[in-house]
Amino acid sequence: MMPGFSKKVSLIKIFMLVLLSAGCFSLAMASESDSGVLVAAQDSPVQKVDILEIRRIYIGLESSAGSGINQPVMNLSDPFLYKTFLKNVMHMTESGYRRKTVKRIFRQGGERVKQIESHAELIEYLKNNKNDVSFMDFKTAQQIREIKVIQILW
Amino acid sequence: MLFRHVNLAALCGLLLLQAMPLYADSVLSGYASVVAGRASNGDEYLADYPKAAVYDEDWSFSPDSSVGVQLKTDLDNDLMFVIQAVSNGASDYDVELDWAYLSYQLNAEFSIQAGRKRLPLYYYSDFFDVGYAYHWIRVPADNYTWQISNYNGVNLQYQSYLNEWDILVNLYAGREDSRNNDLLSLLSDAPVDETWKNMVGLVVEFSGNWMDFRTTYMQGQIDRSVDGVVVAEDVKQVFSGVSVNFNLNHFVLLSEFNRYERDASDIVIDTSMVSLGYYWGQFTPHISHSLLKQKHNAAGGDEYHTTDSVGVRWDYNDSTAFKIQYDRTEDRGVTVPVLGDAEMLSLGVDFVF
Repeated sequence: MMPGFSKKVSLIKIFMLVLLSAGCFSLAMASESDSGVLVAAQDSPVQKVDILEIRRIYIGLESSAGSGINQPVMNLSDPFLYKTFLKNVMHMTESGYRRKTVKRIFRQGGERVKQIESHAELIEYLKNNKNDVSFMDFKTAQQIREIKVIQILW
Repeated sequence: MLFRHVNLAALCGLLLLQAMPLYADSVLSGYASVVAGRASNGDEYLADYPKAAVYDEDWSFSPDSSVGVQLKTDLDNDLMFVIQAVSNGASDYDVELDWAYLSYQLNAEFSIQAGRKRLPLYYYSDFFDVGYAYHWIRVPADNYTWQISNYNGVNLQYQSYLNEWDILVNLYAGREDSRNNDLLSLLSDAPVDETWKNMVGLVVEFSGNWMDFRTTYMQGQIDRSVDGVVVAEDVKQVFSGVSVNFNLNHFVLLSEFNRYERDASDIVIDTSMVSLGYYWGQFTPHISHSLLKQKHNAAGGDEYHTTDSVGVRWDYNDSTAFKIQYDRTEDRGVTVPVLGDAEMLSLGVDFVF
């Protein structure tokens, strides 16, 4: 085999490897920065739960006994995050979600999922209600000492 | 009757209860619809069968406007009390109790309830008056033609999920006595007392990301008297129905098919509804077709009417929706006409609080 050809193939291999690594890195960065996570107070006893359980409690159903969750909180501090949560976790549009929860309230004596519009208020609330959970973007969650990330939602 | 008619003071009482510091946890919720409409190309338009709500050629707010207030009180972790008072323009704004029941949570999935509830025959029966929960001004009238809306009794409810499906199973039993029934008295032009008794029913619902499926069955007996004369006693009746709804991307397709049978009187009535909507941002344009068709019998029963509707819902904010709707009804019954052909224009706003 010609030494020049072998060298060229190796260079191509290295170039492809670099491209692949860069792609994976940027994907990882992108997915991390775009991720949404389930959060609770730093000393909360709540552990990772099934995604279906999360859907269930955000529709307004009772949490399962084993989940340790008291109630969910809808984080409305960022409209984009709220829409992304509904799309990726609840698989619903805003109006679809509202209609579903309204239906449940007046059909089965349910109540609205607690809503908090301020980021600071949400953190304070979670600190004082250790069995309650909410969601926020991964990057923000990492920067707040008072809360812990329970699991990645999307 | 004990539960049915209460005065406005009861509604105020509910609001006061919420304002008072209670030992139990209480949550107050409510809804309201303000709807104006008028009939054209026909003398009258029957917009709501159960409440016998009729529009004529003058603009009116009464037939479809309503307000409801619900108080839910947690008496302890497993026991709650729910009461819902409703005032409808079609009933001269009398306040009635649609719901008043105790619910005991047996475990995460099972609960048992006793008291007064909406009779869950149709898909929208439970939240018939909550206009915010659907895209129409009112649910398609031909499909919702029953004369009894509530019952007093008990039910056992199971709620869980299987993979991505929410499951609801509701087994209920009870009865309802309706004096001077709104719908039957209108159609008979005489006071009609109606009792639905020994009712036993089952509702099964599967609700997923892109599809809802519901099936319903109820059987019971009827007592009826017209102008004080008993015309039916212990007559068996059976109701069955299926509803399938699809949510596909921006499209929503709603459908419902029901059958009501009373063998002793040779009465078989089929009702159905299909509606297509499109979620276009805050707007939901929709088009619908509904019908009621009675099988011909020896008594000449041939009630048959259809309605085509087109409308738009605008979600103004997260608790308010504006709506406009045009309906055209064809009354094809010969022996049993209802109110004749008519067209209808309605504008409304629904909100929840």
